[in-house]
Amino acid sequence: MRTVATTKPARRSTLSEPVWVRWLLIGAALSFLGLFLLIPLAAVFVEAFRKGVGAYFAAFRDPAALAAIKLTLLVAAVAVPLNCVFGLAASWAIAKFNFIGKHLLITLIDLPFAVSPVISGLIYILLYGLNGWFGPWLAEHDIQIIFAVPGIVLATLFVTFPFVAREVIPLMQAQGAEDEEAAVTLGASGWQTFFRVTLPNVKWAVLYGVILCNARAMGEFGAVSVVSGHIRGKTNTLPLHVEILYNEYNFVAAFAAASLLAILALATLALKSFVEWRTHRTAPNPLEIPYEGGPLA
Amino acid sequence: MSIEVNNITKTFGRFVALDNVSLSVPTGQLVALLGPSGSGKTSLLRIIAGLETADPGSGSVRFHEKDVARKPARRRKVGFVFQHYALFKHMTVFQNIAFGLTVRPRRKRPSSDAIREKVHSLLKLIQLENLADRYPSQLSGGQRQRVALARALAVEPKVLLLDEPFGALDARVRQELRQWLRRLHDDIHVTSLFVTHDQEEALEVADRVVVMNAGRIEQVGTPEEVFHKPASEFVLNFLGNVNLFHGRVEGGRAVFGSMVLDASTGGQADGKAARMFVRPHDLEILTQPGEAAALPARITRIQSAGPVVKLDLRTHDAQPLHVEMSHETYRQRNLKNGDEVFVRVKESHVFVDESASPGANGDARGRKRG
Repeated sequence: MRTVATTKPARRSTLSEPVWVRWLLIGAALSFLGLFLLIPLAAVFVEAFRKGVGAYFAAFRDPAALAAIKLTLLVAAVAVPLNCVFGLAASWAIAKFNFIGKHLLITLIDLPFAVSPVISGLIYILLYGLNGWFGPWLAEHDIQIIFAVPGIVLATLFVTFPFVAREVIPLMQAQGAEDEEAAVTLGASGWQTFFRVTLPNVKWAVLYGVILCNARAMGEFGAVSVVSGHIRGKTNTLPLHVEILYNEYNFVAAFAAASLLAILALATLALKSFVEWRTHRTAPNPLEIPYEGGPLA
Repeated sequence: MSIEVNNITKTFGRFVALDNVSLSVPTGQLVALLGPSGSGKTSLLRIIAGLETADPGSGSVRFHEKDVARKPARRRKVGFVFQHYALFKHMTVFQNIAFGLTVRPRRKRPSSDAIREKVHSLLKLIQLENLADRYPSQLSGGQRQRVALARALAVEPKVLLLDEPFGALDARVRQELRQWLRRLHDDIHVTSLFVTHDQEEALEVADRVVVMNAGRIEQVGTPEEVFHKPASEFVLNFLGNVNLFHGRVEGGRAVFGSMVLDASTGGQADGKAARMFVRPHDLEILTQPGEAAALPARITRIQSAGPVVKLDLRTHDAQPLHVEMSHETYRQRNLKNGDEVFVRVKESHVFVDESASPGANGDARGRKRG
């Protein structure tokens, strides 16, 4: 053990604000947080349980609510894996290779974030709607996309497109291609390199992206609202279901459904913090590495 | 296995990284590619490994007479060691070293017992037997590079390529590790090519040194040859400190102020600019003007902490000079800061401008022994 005394320098008055300024700033931040985040969150649960626990659970026995939950899970189950695969493929291509149009691809990946979700929904109506580009052909072959589950899945896919890619690209770029080059010179094939070297290196970033992607996929309202047609029990996802109930003045049921989304959000935050903690833990401080080699004989 | 590189050119956009480079590395030798950053040495190494491709239409890379141009990196059987180790962070030391064996197709893969045995023998070789279960992040830089070397050796490469292998290590570990690498090479004799920008490292470790500059090879030779018989001003400058004197050719001799050298200047015309390079240890300090060819100067700084005594001097026309001498000589001469002394050139390298004389031997080298 080293016995170097680490003396903390005394707090320099020039670098610290007066006490009342500190408390004012902290207080302002906390009251803002409470007013705009905590109270609404609490309100969701308070309203949901306003008529008791029985009424709360009764809200989920409604077949329309169950269908909405099922559809939401289905959409997420399709959209998240697809965007995970796409995100990884795009990141791999962008971070490890140079090709023409690379910057265009990076910009395009961000497009869904830049476009209003309502527009995203409208794009699909214009493409696949009855009067859209492919509408007549689809109608001829009896394929329904708009006002049906495929349309909802497509709209969700579009909106959640960037999540995984945006998390993974910077990490892969920072890591460079040396690990992969090392694997290749050791005789590994492309797939072996990907599964045994590349993927483990970015797994926490992928998971982080998947969590955010999932939260958005389940919570998306705008784009899905445009393409869904709001057919109760058929094309209503959970957020759309909340809106319908609310418009019908069925507040308890509306807030009960909303509380599910709120729980999802809280679980997402908890998972996200866990993943962030793991990511930091797996990247140890290089200064703490002991030297134990001793002289080479 | 020998390596032959023939007429390789590599350009990145408009930057020429390698300009028609040819090189041959005989079987079993340890060769250093030495040059400043941007000289193309790493590009050459990566082209040999197959991690980079030479410009289409340029020459070939041959391993033991066989062209490997069409072989991808994974089939070339080269061991590659990276400057920043490139160890797999999520694998233990054992798993890292075993990687090359475990990715083989099933019928060529050794049994797990054989792999374990192989890894342990390599761990013994790198003297890290007790660290098999550690992760790379738990190792020091020197240990990591040894693991990287063991990982490269595990697949029994025909050729070992090392890219600035000690570049990221601190001075002491670096020195230890390069001496260890030399001994290791004497044991296993795998044809090795390593890239470095550290002339001391290249001269100390390598059998042969390839000095590169601006995408070209300046000189290939043993450490003694490149140090004592530099083929160009660049090589001379790059391999250690030099004092530079400007002069000109007069009557077939090179004249530097009061010093006249019987340099064989290759019949250069009078008036051509000449440059004389003298290494700090080839300058001698005299307290009396013994010979005519001595330069009066004043000592401005003496640094005697170290294996040799380093002196800074200034001539009367304000040119700074650096001189190195043994402690013994230093004591005998009884030198002090501010002393007026005389500097004699013991050995020098003279280069005469070739630009204005096409066809002439520009690298006229004058060697004068005092």
